[in-house]
Amino acid sequence: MKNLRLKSARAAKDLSQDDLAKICGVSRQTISAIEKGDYNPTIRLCIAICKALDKTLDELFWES
Amino acid sequence: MNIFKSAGAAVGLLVGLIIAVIIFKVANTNHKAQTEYDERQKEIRGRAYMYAFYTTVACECVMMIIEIGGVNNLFENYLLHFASLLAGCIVLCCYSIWHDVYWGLNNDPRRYSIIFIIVTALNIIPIIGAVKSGTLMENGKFGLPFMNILVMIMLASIGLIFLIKHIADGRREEE
Repeated sequence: MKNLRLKSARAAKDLSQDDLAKICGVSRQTISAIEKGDYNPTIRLCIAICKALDKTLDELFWES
Repeated sequence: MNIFKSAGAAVGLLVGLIIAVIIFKVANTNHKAQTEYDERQKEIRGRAYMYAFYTTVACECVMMIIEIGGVNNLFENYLLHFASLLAGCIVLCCYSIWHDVYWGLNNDPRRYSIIFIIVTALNIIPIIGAVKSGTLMENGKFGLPFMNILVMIMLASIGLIFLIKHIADGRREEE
């Protein structure tokens, strides 16, 4: 399932996939795969993404 | 057994290894010999190594059968084992390229492309030399120069899969 909340949170911060990838210490393709729903990140990477985008884990990754 | 020939090959391999480490240090953006990967890359590369291992084992089994059976072929035995290793390398590289995990976080693709070009040139020179002097085949069997041809086949496979991946990604973006 696509993670549109992550994509919109990134866009709201005016960050490209490459920018977010550099902040989190991963490749651009990894951020792309998370947004497309092709890859389930570990909790460590989820936290790094949340910190970079000033969001909580619930806001970005919890499926209601 | 020619001990000097074996020792020469071992020294050659060792020198090659040292040069490779130096090249990696120069080519990587953080000047470390080891390539760094993120968690997704490590996971997919793990699968790539698994398939490469299976490929090498399967090829080695075939080579073993050929040797046991004493099947006449046009290649020296060491070439057959080298081909098995390269087959595993091709699987590892192609799987990694196709799943976007070939380049590590600290790799500079431009610098590596230059290295690929240099390696290709270094492999073409002995092939041309062997073809010109007619030493591609010795005693009715393909010998050492054929190793360079095998490396060229591997490099061509890597180049081809990069091209196909580039075209496939372009089409996906258009959609």
